[in-house]
Amino acid sequence: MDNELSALSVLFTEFYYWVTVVMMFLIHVGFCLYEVGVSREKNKLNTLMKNAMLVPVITCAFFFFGWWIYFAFQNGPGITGGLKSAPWSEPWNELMAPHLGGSAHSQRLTSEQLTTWPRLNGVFWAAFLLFSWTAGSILSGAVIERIRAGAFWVLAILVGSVTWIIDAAWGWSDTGWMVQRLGYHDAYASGVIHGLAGGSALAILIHLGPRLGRFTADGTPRVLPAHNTWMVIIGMFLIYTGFWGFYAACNVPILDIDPDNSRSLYSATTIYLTPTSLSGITLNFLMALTGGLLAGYVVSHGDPFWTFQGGLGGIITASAGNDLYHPFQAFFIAQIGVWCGYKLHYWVEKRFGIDDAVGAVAIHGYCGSLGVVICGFVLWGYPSSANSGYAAITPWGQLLGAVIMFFVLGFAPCYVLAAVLKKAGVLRIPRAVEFAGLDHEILADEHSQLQEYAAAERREFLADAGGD
Amino acid sequence: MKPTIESWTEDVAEIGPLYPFVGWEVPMGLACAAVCIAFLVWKFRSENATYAAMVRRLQADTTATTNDSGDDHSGDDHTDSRGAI
Repeated sequence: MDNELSALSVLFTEFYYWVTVVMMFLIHVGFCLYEVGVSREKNKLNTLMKNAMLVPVITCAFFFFGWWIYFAFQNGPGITGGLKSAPWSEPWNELMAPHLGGSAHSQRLTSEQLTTWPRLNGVFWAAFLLFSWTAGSILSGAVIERIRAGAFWVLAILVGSVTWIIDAAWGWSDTGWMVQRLGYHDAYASGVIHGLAGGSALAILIHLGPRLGRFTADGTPRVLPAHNTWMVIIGMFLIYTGFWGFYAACNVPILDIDPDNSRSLYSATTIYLTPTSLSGITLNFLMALTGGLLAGYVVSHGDPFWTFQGGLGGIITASAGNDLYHPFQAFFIAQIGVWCGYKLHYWVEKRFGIDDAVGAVAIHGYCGSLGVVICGFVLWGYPSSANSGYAAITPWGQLLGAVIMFFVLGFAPCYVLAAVLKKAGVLRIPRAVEFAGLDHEILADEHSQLQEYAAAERREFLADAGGD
Repeated sequence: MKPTIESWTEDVAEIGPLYPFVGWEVPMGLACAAVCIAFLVWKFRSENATYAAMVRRLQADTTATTNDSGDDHSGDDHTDSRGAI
């Protein structure tokens, strides 16, 4: 940063990501409100703490190995090369801390790394970390009111700091092997976050089983209304708000997109370093939200929960190609995704007895995966990368990518880990506690404390009145 | 031990790490990892103990309630009540 222009570029990029992180924090606030709103009165404190505490748990894990996995695993390893060297992302490296880029203590850092990473490592890390929290929160909603917090946090570490970041390395980086070989394109993470988290949630739900009383003896699902619709809706609005930050964080804000030419041409780019613009993705984000809200409203006959979920599902479905779609395409793709997600949710619920408390598998898993596949048809033949020699976008590349996200990295690892936790008897809350309510003892204590306080207050009042 | 930064005016371009105890990153990281792992272990143990105690208390409450409700229809209802819990 020895001249004003390069300093401005670096400091702008640093500030840009910092702002996206602050905005994305609202996603987590939204998820907390939304889950607590859905859960019953007797479970709401446990629901809140289970989700809130995934923040420190995933953050530590992501600091220790998640960030390193993103850079090291871009070749598979073993598919297009070995493990990549990424010393700046190792937890003990000096660049994972405040640093001005001068003399390095570590001999392993190159001068290029010392120029690039001191100002960007922390904000990049945080942007990816917020995606990790989102992945964990998606699971959290599906499994409320019967999973043990300890088991959930271990599963959240697996998804938030291992599997999602492996799929990001493979399919959501400019040199990932899926981009190179399959032409995989998923600009705003339809499959990378949502498809994977939905597949993970489905695997956990299979082992976890439904809540007590959720199905009749013949397998018909019973409706369980949200305890506080307003919290759910405000939560959804906050998730939409945070999603703006998410979209911005998926972009590189300023990059020379014609480096071979002596005349530089600057633009925002996707994570694949292909050109796009904040203006373009804003059009598509809002038209996808619009399409999703309309479809959600119609398909659910005006049900508030599914209408708002529809807005989210619409954005998620269109996200894979929202860097390149026309807004009308985003609008219709969103509608297709929401209609399919809604129908699949109720079909799977009834056919397999899956109790997904918030429709997370549908809105994230089915909509996200479908969005990846649709992108393969609509953007068929587009280059997947700015790098030459990479495969172009195709329906089969996207279909295989969706399968890798949902099943290979989403469903399979969580299915195995949830089975182990179930076998150890630490996956599900005991039925007696589930029946009484997860907050049973806290609420009982609060009740007796309030009673005691009221009695003391009355005694004091009567004593004062007697004195007067 | 010398502080990492001794002056903000001399050789500013040479300043690298800003934090104290440069070179101690691995032991500090191991300590942080130990705290995280200990937290999870504590959580599993505490959940096991808490839920076991809650189940015992809830079953005792249910038994007491069932006994208090009389013997007229305690046969099937007693079984159902315990089964539900």
